[in-house]
Amino acid sequence: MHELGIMDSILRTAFERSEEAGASRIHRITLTIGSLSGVAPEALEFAFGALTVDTAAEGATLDIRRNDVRITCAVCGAEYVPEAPVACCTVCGSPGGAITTGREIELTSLEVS
Amino acid sequence: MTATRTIEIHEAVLDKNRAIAEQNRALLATSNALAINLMSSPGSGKTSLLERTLTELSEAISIGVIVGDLATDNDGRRLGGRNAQVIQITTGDICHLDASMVGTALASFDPVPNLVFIENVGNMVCPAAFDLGERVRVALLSVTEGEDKPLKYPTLFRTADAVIVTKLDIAEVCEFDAEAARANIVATAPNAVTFWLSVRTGAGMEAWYQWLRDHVGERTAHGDAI
Repeated sequence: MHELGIMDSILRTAFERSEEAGASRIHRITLTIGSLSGVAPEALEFAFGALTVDTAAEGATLDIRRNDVRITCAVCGAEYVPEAPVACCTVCGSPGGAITTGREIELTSLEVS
Repeated sequence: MTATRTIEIHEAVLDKNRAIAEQNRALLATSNALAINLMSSPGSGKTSLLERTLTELSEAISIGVIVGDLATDNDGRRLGGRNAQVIQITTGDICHLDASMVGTALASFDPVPNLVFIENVGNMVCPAAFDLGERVRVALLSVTEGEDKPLKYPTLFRTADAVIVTKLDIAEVCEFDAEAARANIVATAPNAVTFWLSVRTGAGMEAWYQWLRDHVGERTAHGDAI
């Protein structure tokens, strides 16, 4: 449900950057979304369709790259991808650690003309 | 026709929220205040937990509550008259609190209390994505919700510093499997402190109070300790 607001903010940045670059059309927007970001790609796609009507990004492709959660084990220091939703080190078996990636919601790049 | 070209951006979408959250965190740190973000599904007992906590602790510790709801100020009113500063945020249709809403609420405290509870909008998905500037994130799970909630909503639980299992007095009626719940909490939130309590009977409340006292004490003694 909060994806509409997030997409609105993505598009605002996208239009700003595209204008700064002297472009008039946006053809592709690439996002990087962590699987622990609390954002659903399907809802982003829906919001994207709804918010780009009659804009420079109408009909553009939304390309969503998923980033796995990676955790650095507090005991052995190994970086591992937890077998969701359980977070135990795949090397030494210790639970938990620090989340290094997986929470990001990033506007990665634009394809414009 | 002009050829298409690529612009690399790599900008975090929630950067604005995060920047405001950092301002909130700085304000809280200079005021020696500990802020706790309480998150759970609707009806899991956030307001009841706060009602009793305020009654028991607000003589000894200065407490403030920022309450978020889609509509009504019912929760804010329930928490009134307990010697605490209560600020109600009505979010309209927004399903979570963000850092700027909390920043506005913090600015209206006079003075900023030593312990600030932020009762988030009842929702286990959206609030987990927004840093509010809190120091501690707490997830609540009531026995009526089923022991597999942590597995179904791992984002909320994995980012929690503490998990509180509430309504323990009706666990048996709900056929709540405490062992399964414990295993699921450990699996998703292995670093979290866990409290098992009943606000109604008071069972388990003392451990929660002591944890709050310790953390507030640490903050007032050493500043940014947690």
